[in-house]
Amino acid sequence: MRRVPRHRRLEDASDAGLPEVCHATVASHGGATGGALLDVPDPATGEPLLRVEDAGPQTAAVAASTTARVARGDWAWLAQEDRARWLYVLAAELEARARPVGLTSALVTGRPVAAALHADAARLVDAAFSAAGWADKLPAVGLRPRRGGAVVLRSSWRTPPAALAAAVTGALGVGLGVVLRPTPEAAPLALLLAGAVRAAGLPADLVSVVPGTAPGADKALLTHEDVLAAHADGGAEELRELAVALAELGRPLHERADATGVDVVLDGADVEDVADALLDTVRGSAPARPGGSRVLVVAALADRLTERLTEGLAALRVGHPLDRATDVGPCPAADVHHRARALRGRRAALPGDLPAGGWWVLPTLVPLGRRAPVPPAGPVLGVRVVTGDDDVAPLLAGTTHLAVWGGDARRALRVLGAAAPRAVGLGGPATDDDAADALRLLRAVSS
Amino acid sequence: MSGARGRVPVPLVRPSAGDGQELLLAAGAALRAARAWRATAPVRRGRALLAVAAALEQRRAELVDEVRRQQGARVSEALGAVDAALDELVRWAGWADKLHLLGVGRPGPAAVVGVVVPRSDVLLAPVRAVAPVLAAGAGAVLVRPAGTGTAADALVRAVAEEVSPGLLGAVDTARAAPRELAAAVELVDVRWADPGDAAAYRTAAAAAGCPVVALHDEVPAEERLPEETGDAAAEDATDRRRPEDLPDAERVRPFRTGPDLPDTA
Repeated sequence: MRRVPRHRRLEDASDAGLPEVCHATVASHGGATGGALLDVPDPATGEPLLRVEDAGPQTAAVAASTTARVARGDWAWLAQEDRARWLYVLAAELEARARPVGLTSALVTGRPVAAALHADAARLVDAAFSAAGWADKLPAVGLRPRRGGAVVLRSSWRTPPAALAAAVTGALGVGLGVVLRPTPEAAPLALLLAGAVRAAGLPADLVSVVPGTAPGADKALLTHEDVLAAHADGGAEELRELAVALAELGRPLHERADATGVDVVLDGADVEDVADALLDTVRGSAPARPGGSRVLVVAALADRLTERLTEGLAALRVGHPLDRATDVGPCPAADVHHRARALRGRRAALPGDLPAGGWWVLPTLVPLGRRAPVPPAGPVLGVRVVTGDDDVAPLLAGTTHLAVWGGDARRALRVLGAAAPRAVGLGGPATDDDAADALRLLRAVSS
Repeated sequence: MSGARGRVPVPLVRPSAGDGQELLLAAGAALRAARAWRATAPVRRGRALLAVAAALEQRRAELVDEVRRQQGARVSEALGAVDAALDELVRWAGWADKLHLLGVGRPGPAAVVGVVVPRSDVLLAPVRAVAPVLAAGAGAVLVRPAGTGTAADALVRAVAEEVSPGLLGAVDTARAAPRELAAAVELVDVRWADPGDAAAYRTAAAAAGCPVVALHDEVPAEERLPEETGDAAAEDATDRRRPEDLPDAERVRPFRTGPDLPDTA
C-alpha cells in the first residue's frame, strides 16, 4: 500500500470556517434555552473537532413555529417563477461556498478533499440548480405548491452535501420552510447551508437548524402542528420506524435509503473498466455508499477481477482527508469503523504514519457468502462469484445503485429488471438522477 | 453561474456569400456547435441557458428600446415582452435536465432547427422557439425579416458568448428561401411566423420531407408531430400560442418581484 508521506501539505482547515460550537439557529431570538454540548470527534485523530448543541424540545418547537411562520408570511405567496429565481440565486451562492462546504465535508466525514472539492462541489451546484428548476414546473407534473408550513430534513454523515442542498431547495420550491435536524457531525454542513440561504437574500429563518440527537426534540419537531412532512436518510430499519411514527400522525415521509451498490459483472465485461469504476467507489468511501458495495461476478472473470482489484486497492493512498493526494480517508463514524475494521482482524496492522485514534481502515476486498451477505460501509468491497442469472436476482434485494457490466442487452436488462434501484448503470457505474430524485421529494412534500 | 466562457467573436453571418450560402454556413456552424452542446450534461446546458438569460437581462433597457422601435409597441408592452422573454429562458433553463422525465430529449444525433421569426414579435417569439431547442441540446438558425434583426441578434450574441459560437445563427428571410431552409435544417418552426411566410415555409418543408412545427389551427391533425399531443406536461413545456392570442394579463406581464439573475461574469 502506498502511504502518504508526512511532509505533504494539507488544505487549510480554517477555510472551512468551522465554528467552535454549533448552535441551533433560532436560539438567539427564539428565547429557547441551550442544550448540552456534544463533542464531535475528528475522524482522522479521534480528538474533539468541535462541539454541537444538543437542542432540546423547546428549541425544536420554536424553530418549527418560526420557520413555518416565515414560510407563510414571506415566502409562500411568491409566484412560482419568482421562487425559482430566488432558488437559482441560492444555487449560485452555494457555488461561491463550494470550498468551505468541501473542506467541511472532508473534516467531519473523512471524505478525501480532492473529491470533496471537485466532484462533490460540482454535484452540489448541479443538484441545487436542478431542484430549483422544479419550483416553476410543479403544475407540469401534477403538483401544487404549499401555502406555508415546514418540512423537517434529517441529515447525518451519510447525507452528501448535494443531496442536502437538493432537498432544501426542493422543499423551498414547493413553498415550505425547512427545519434542518442534523446529527452532531452533520451540523456544520447544515449551518453552512442555512448561511447560504440567508446570503442569497431569502427570508431569515426560512431555513432553521436544530442540531442534536435528543429524542424529545425529534418528537417535538415531528409532532409540531406546522410540520407537514419529513425527509430522512438512513438504514432500512431506521427509516421504517420513522415512517411508522409519521404515518400515525398522517404526515408523509420522503425517505432516501442508504445507497447500496451492486455491480453485476457478466461474461464479456471489460475487467479493466469494471475495476476502475469499483476502485472509484472505494475512493468515495463510506459517505458514497453507506449501505456498502458488492460485486457479483461470473466465475469466468472472477479471478482476473479479484487480482486486478487486489492490486488496485493496495495502490490506493490512505491518509489525511485534507491531503489532496489521499484516495481513502478515515471512516465517518465510530460504528462504521468498528464494523469495517472487524473484517481485517489482526492481520492488517495500520501504517505507523496514520494518526493514532483515527477511524482508519485499509481498503479491503472481502469474499461474500451466506454468513456475510453484505459488506459494511467504508473502503470495503464485497465479492461474490455467481454461476448464472438465477443466482443474481435473489442477491439484489435492497439495492439502490445497480450497474450491469457485459452480457448481451437482453441478459443485462433481465438483471436490471430483477431489482428496483433508484440509479442504474449499463456498461458503466450507476449514477444518481438529481432531477428524478428531486421530483420524488416534491411528490412527497407537496399537496 | 459559471456558464460564461469569456468574450468570443459574434458568429453573425455577414452578407458576403451567394444565394443560400449564408444560410448553409449558419446551419453548418449550428450543427457543428450542436454536436458538442448535445454531449454536454443536461444540467450544465440548463446552467448555460440561465447565463444567457442573465446576459440579456443586463441589456434589458436596450432590448426594450429595440422592441419598441421594431414593433411600434408601447413601453409597457415592450417591457412585458422583454421580461416574458427572460422568464421563458429561465423556465427552459430549468427544463434542460428534466426533459427525459417527460419522455422527450432522448439521445440522438445533433440537429438544427430553423425558426421563422415574425415582424410583429422580434424578441419573445424567437426566444420561445429557441429556448426549448437549446435546452434539448440542439442548435438553431433564426430566419428574420429584413430590418428586424437587432433584438434577435442580441439573443444570438448572448448564446455565442455564454454557450457556444455558432450554436444559434441568424439570417434574413431574403437569404433563406423556404426551399433552402427546408434543405438545410432538420426541423422548421413556423409557430410564430407571419401567416404568409408560414404557408410558404410549410409547403416547402412538406415538399422536402422536412418536419414542421406549426400552430394547431394551421396544420391538419394528421400532419402534427407526435409531441404535439397536448398533455399537461407538454402544454407547459411548449406554449404554442401567438403573443397576440394571449390575454392582456398574460401578454403584458407585471414586473418581476424576484431578484436580478445571478451575475455570470
